Amino acid sequence: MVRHTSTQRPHSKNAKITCQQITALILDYLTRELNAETALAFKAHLRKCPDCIAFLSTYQKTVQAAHSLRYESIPLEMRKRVRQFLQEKIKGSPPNR
Amino acid sequence: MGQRGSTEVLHSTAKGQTSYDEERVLIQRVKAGDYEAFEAIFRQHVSRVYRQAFKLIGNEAETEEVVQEVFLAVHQKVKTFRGESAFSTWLYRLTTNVALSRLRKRKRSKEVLLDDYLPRFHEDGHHEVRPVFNWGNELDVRLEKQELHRLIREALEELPPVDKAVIVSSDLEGISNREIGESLALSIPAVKARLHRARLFLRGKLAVSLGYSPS
Repeated sequence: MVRHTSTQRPHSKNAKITCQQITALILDYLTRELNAETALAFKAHLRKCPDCIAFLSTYQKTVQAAHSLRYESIPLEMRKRVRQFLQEKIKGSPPNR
Repeated sequence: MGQRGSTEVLHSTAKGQTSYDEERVLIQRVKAGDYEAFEAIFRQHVSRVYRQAFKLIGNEAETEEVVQEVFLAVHQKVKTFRGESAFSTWLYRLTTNVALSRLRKRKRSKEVLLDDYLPRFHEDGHHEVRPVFNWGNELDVRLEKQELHRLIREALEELPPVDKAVIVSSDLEGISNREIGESLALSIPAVKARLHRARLFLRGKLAVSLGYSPS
């Protein structure tokens, strides 16, 4: 089972949230989808928790690293083969060159 | 996150791409059985379909089969495309689902326990392993870019198919959570939950590769 991340609960002005809750809220924090009260509690926790600052930083670095993956275009020969396959399947004849 | 959304292709006429109106005409011609129009659609979209499929499938041979299957499906199903979304969105969904169907049929070579790479906490909610190291900068220093990319690709391969489709669509393709949810028949909270878990897993794998605890 997947646990939903958006476990935003109303927090009173002085409410404390745990490192575990911070971790669950990271995605919504980064996309600025936390409600104002939870965002305040989140930031207040970060101000005094180096563990969560480190965790957040490595989470962001992971997202950046995934985002940096680069992929090649379709190889020319493969493109020709697929085109030929489609023409034969659909029209029953190889494509005109 | 930057949104490299699926609709952007339609609005650029630079580099010889077709405009939205031209594409709509092409699609009408394909619906009417015009094979030249189908080939124009193929030329326009094959690179994007290939890249999207490759990100999910991970090897050229199977990706080629997926690309074939996708364009055959385009030819067979284009009559069901009613233009309510952009054609590129429709094609993105089609490609995701063809690739996902193939991933689901795969025998997973080894069962990786995702939980082994997810953060763990004490009952009081503190991180189980403290201090948490900020190894972010070490990634660039200790790993060559190629090595980093290899690690990420391997970690992606270990994810369950739907989780993989979600993180690839979101973090590699820049597709919005709403569009991902519509493609995979998931609610937005479910998309976010899977995305978060997949990111935590990748993070855990990177941490371990640098000699740190995933927690």
